[in-house]
Amino acid sequence: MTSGPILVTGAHGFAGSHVVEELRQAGADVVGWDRVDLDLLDPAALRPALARLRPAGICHCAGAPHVAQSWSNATLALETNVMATAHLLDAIRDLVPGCRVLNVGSATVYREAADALTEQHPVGPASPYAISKLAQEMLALRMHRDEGLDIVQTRSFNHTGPRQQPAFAAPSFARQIALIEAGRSEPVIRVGNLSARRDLTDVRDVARAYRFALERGVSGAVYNVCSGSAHAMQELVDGLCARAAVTVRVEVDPALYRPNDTPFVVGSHERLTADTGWQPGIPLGQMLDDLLAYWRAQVRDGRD
Amino acid sequence: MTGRAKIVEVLVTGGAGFIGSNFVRFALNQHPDWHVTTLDKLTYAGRRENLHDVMDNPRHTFVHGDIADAAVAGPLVERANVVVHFAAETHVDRSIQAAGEFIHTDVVGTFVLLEAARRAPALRRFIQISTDEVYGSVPSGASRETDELKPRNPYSASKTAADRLAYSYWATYDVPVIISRASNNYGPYQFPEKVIPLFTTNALMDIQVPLYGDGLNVRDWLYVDDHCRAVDLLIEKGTNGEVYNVGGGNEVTNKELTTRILDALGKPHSLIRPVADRQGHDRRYCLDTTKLKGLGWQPATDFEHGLTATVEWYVANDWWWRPIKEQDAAFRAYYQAQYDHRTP
Repeated sequence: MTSGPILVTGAHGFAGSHVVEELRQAGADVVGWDRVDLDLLDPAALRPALARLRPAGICHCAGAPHVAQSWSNATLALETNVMATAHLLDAIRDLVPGCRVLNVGSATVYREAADALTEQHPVGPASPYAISKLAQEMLALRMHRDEGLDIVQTRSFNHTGPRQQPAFAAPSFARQIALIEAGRSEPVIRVGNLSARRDLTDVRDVARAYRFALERGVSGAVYNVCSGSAHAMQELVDGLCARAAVTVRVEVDPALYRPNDTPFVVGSHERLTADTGWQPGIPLGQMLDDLLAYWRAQVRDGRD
Repeated sequence: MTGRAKIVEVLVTGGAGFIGSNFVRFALNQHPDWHVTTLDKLTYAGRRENLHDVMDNPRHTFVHGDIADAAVAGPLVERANVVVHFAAETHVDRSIQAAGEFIHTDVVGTFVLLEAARRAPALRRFIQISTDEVYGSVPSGASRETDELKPRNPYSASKTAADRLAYSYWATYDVPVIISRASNNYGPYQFPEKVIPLFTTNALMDIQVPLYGDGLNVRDWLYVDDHCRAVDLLIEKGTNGEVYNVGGGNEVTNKELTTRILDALGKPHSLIRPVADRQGHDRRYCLDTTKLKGLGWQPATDFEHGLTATVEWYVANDWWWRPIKEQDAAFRAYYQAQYDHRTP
């Protein structure tokens, strides 16, 4: 990479904030941008800011992350994931064409499958969110192919950890348990479809994968970022309940079911491991410990 | 994407100094949607007292720190929408005694701020406060923004370096820099080492006023409020990468200035003590301000009214200046080193 800082978009967001920490710990000069600082949909603001900064690398984490919300608000996902990325890629091409870009994509682009997903598996996005992430990915890969930009593309599977919004399943469970422990909720947690099995990775492993992909990934390559093992939501709930200081009853709420919920998703990170040496390092037990510890602290400090 | 009612984040470096504190006060009064952060090292001329009436203002934050310290200045610049960079060592005589601090603050400090400005995603303006002294002494006519820069003392050389460095960050990195080159400012809260407050406060204490050389050096005096309005206008309407002269259009010799101050205070001219001239004393500065006037600016305060208001401010605010002169050992030491050995 040429000299210059590493820019992280969506730096105040869930994955972005962990990527900032990961890069800083690795000694990189990191600049974080977030929507409160700069609207990627506003080229008049974006372009001069990028021209000033001249980053050597960009980790594009900004986006609308929630699949369920995209059913009711597809335009938000399309604007935030597709249009913002299109503006960013245009600006990169025009202003900092030598910059290495990690474009964070999603495994929801894959068609449903019964076995582990590799990057060769056919795509078939099933939600507005997934459609937006596929469009974002295809824009980036076209920029690599036709315009010569140095782009690495991920397809990231589910990940969780501290700072993820409780609109997602795992932090929602952890938050509810922390509230029950603090005596602020009835000892019941409400859950959605617990039979769904997901490939779930700790966000800190994901952040490290992004750093490795940025540093060592092959230009133009697509990489799954995943743990390689599937966990039933039931397993997460049981694991968190077992860690709770009080007895918790689990209640299934059909309202929390997603439309078109895929029963089983697991990925293969073989390619990422082969090209960059990355391996997941944080086991499920530690992930749950840390998630619950984070929410206990949030509840204690009144930030729940 | 979203239409938020936005607070404009304004960073004022050197906001506890003379012009800076006047600008902070002006900005808070003028712009209810601004949040102003003052970053000031609080050397001798930067004083909390200069901001006494805005320290508790919820739209004002004071940060004590050095602009050349990237760990302090960097994050403040990075989140700013507007930076107004006043912080500088400013006194020519001090630069002749010792130039090191001038290089550190005026040049390195500006470099640190500009580097941070490259990382500021929402930065709209970076106002580099420069000075008419970058043109050097002009025997006749008026300096235009395109004139050659011929600084002749360490202070003006350090300001010229900062002026051109700021310009280069616009030309190279598109940092939204505007450079203002102002003439000599005067008004409330100016440290009593500069001629108007020095002579005013000396006369109020019935001690002699040391007049350099033949007293015929000419300065173009700008009332500090007019300067504040010019900076405000440049933030709103200036063009990035451009230089704007800001001059009051009041050419006055130091001798005439001295007699006016003494007359305003009803003090005898016998207080004037001629002293040997400053080394390399620039004879005259004069600015052509056509370009700024094209944006709609005019000085609003003529010299007579501005000087009277300033002298009256010092008369009414001896709580502000008397401790500097009477108790501040550093000021006494400086003053003695500067004037005591000089005989005409």
